[in-house]
Amino acid sequence: MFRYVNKPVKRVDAVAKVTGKALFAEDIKFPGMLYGAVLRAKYPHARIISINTEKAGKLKGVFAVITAADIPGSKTVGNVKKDQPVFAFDKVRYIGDGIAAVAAVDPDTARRALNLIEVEYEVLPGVFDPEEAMKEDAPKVHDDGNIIVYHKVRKGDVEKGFKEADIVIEREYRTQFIEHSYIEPEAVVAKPVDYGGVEIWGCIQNAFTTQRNVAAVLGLDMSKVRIIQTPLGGSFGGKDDVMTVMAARAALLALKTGRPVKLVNTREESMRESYKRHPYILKYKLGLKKDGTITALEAMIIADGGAYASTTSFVTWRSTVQAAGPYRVPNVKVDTYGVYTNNPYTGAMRGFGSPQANFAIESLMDEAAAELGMDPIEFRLKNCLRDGDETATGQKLTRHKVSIAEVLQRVREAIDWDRLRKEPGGEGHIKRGIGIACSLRGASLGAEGVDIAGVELKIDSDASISVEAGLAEMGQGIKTVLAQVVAEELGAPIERITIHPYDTSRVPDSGPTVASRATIVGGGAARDAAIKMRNILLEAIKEEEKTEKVWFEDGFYVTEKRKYSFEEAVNIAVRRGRGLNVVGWFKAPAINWDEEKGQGTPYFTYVYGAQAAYVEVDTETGKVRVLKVAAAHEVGRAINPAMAKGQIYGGVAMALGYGLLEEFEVDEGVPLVSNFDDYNIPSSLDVPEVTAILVENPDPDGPFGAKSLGEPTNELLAPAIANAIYHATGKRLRELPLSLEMVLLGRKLRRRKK
Amino acid sequence: MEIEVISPRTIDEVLEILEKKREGLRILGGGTDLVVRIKERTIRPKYLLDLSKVDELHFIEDRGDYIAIGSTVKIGELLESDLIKSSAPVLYEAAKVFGSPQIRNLATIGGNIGNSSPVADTMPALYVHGASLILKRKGGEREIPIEEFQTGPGTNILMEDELIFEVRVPKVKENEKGFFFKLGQRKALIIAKVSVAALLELDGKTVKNARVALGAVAPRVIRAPKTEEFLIGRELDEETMREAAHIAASESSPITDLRSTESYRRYMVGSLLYKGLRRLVGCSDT
Repeated sequence: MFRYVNKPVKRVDAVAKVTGKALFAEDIKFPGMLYGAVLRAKYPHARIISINTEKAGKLKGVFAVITAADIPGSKTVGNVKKDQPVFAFDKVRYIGDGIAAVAAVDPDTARRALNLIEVEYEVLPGVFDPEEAMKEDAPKVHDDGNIIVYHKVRKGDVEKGFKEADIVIEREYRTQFIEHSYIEPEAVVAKPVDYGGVEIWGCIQNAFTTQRNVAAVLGLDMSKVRIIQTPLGGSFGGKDDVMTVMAARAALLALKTGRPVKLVNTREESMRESYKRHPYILKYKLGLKKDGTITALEAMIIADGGAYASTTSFVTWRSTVQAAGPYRVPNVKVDTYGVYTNNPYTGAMRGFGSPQANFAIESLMDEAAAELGMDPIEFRLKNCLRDGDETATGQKLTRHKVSIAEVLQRVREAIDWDRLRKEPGGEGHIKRGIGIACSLRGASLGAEGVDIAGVELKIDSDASISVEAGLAEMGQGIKTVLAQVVAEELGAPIERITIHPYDTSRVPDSGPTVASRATIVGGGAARDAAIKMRNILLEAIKEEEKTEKVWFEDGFYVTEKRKYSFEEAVNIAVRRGRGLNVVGWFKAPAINWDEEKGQGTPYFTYVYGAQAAYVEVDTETGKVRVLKVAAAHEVGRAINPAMAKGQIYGGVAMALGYGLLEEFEVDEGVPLVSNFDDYNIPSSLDVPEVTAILVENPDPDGPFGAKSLGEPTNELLAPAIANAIYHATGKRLRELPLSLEMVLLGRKLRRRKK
Repeated sequence: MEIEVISPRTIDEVLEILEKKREGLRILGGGTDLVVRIKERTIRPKYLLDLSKVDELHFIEDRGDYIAIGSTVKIGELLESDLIKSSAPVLYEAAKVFGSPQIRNLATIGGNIGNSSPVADTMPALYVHGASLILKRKGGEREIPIEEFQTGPGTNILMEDELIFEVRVPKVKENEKGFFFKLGQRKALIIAKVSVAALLELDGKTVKNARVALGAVAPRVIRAPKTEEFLIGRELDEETMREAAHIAASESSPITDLRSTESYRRYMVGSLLYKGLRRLVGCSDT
């Protein structure tokens, strides 16, 4: 049926990456280039009395020292709310704030100059606990109070629902700060250009967001700020705000010195400065009938946003609308607060508010099943959403196949659930157990914002194809997906397609590459572009053959007389003077959200996933080994099944870290870890056997029926492991990570500063 | 920051350089700890005395009763030695779980000892093997038991003009069996939260002699004398193993730091010892 789509086509960017030919931001050099370095805050909360850069400026080899006073335009940047300073000017609000930057002949000189900058502070009391921060008398991180955002969902009447319940359970869950741990730390190079602007190369995930913010900082038109995205050595949502700030600093230095300037974070700087995944406190109350029917669900969710708003309002919104999980609940009340503290700021990270909410709701569902003496899968099947059901936000699921029961069943079979649940194995102090978690997840941005994408196609006279797209390749494979879609719809050989770098001066603004949206919106736009281009070729053939009957079939351009290959069709179009340059667009179907009522259609479609973990717990040491994972994800249609399975393997491995190992520990705003010796992510030896299952129920609105996959793979394993530990040991753990100490002693003992 | 790297070829040159007691000189083995700390700027040396080109420091020799290991022998090289595997099995086991392949290919045994971390993986193994060190300075050398070397976290008795020249590890007897366990969250690349090494001389199931050493639970690697005393003369049955674990836990003095907490560490000393003893009597479950 398809030639390229739904096939495990080889990645288009693989060879350059594995042979070391891909040029990352740190590899870029220009003649006369200077090296920058940034002075960071000494305290998590302090007023800046004075900054003296005189001595630093006089050091030999230093070309410029800049502070907020050197900013011609906006002194602050932000994804949603412009509350983050490029350089702190009134006060520092977290330990990663930048205060000044230096450009010098080499990195060593730049760093030496930092030591000569004198900053006088007045240390202020800080607030480091989000619940404390919500109190009236708490220290204010920003003048307008510590509440960044509030969201709610209201459905039915929870009071009535709890009255109808036979059992009511109330539980509190907590999650931790974690680091994205992309292998490539942040890097940019900014270069002044003769049109009075600046060009910036960098591992910038959302180049248009950065372009908009940097232009405002420089006081320039956006068209004078050109961002060229270099290959991203991982991002996972992490190279957004932090890159905007870095790009702005490099641009300021470049314009001040008239020379290209490179800024590169060391791993230690990256860990100190970059934003993290939000820690959450989640208080849930669930009402149940004896037969397992859910009557009501109430949740109070508090997210630690740290010092700046970043994407907290969107992250917490997703948690809010997905807080009830993939279940039929007649009465729902969810209240979510995002709160400022003087901790490292938190923002987008693969999952975006779902790993936290899922840890709570999926642990809670397990606790409910245990309370009722029901099998956890049976309990979920009894309550899960089915075709035509209404979600917690009042959205009727009628336009796509609701696949939650299907993914649960597939996982159940793949991991041999029914047998392992009864006979988990293990002996002596080695206990084994099996646990499950499942979710629904809204695809793409939803009511977060305008959801459109554009892709530009150009065919050269030799019938080779250039694709320009404003979507970030960060390992997920979007370049390959775009090539597959274009090759499919044009009947072109995939080898003739080149996907050019994401350059804001050339590509249509397609919004941020977030929310697992690249395939659904970028693929949709590429498909639209390819069909437009195909129509041009068909028109040219009509003209050539003086016929009205031309059509596209099996990759060929067909008339009643003969078949033309793509290349032949292009030759005709070129000869006939047809312009072979088009832009295709995808606009997501309409959605709506009523913030006042806490109801609406937050997303136009959903994906469904389930993951089961079979674990072994050493009750002498608290060590948990995950022996096997089965993961079934409904994706609409997999454009590239091999890459889709890769997403599952990667998502599971990463979530293993969230569940068992990782915590970016912060004590009174000061990080206790600075590098990977103390911040442990899983090694290849820790990753268990993973059975990846793709469930394909094509969606009417996605390209070729495709939906999303990047994030759902990363949002389920932590609760599945917690549930498996409960099955193995009878111990219910409600705080991540499930570290040795947590599993053995059931609590996390607070640690001391270095 | 300028650092001068000095790379002598002979031991005499090395001792000559050390004798001059240049201020800010650090001895460079594999650099897996030192270079990191230079990068962090917690150490700011002016000179690095690089030992990698001194052939006289690089040997593993069978000297009858004991094995002599030159201080620049890499951890990975210990793993390639049949002599170490058969005659210093606890050291071999420690080398197996030391860092990652990349670290093992650089890190040296002398460096691991000289660095004197309470979590150094080779140290508890060397303790239970009853190893000694040959320290050289210009015009002289001395032999000291390994247990007298370290004085605290990062500190030791090495004098400014002295070099760890050789590690002497007595060969195990046929009836001696031991183990090295360390506990961390992951399967590889672990900086130990706790480590336990033991070497027991057994007569059937009866313990004739015992050495037990604990890492990461005190400012320095320590022996567990009460545990040893308890074990000697007893049969390794379930009760003995449980009680030994209990005693070991009580005689450790761990701290709470970034890598773990005091109460957990104390508990783990016992658990790891118990696991190890069980393995010695043939009930392996780890």
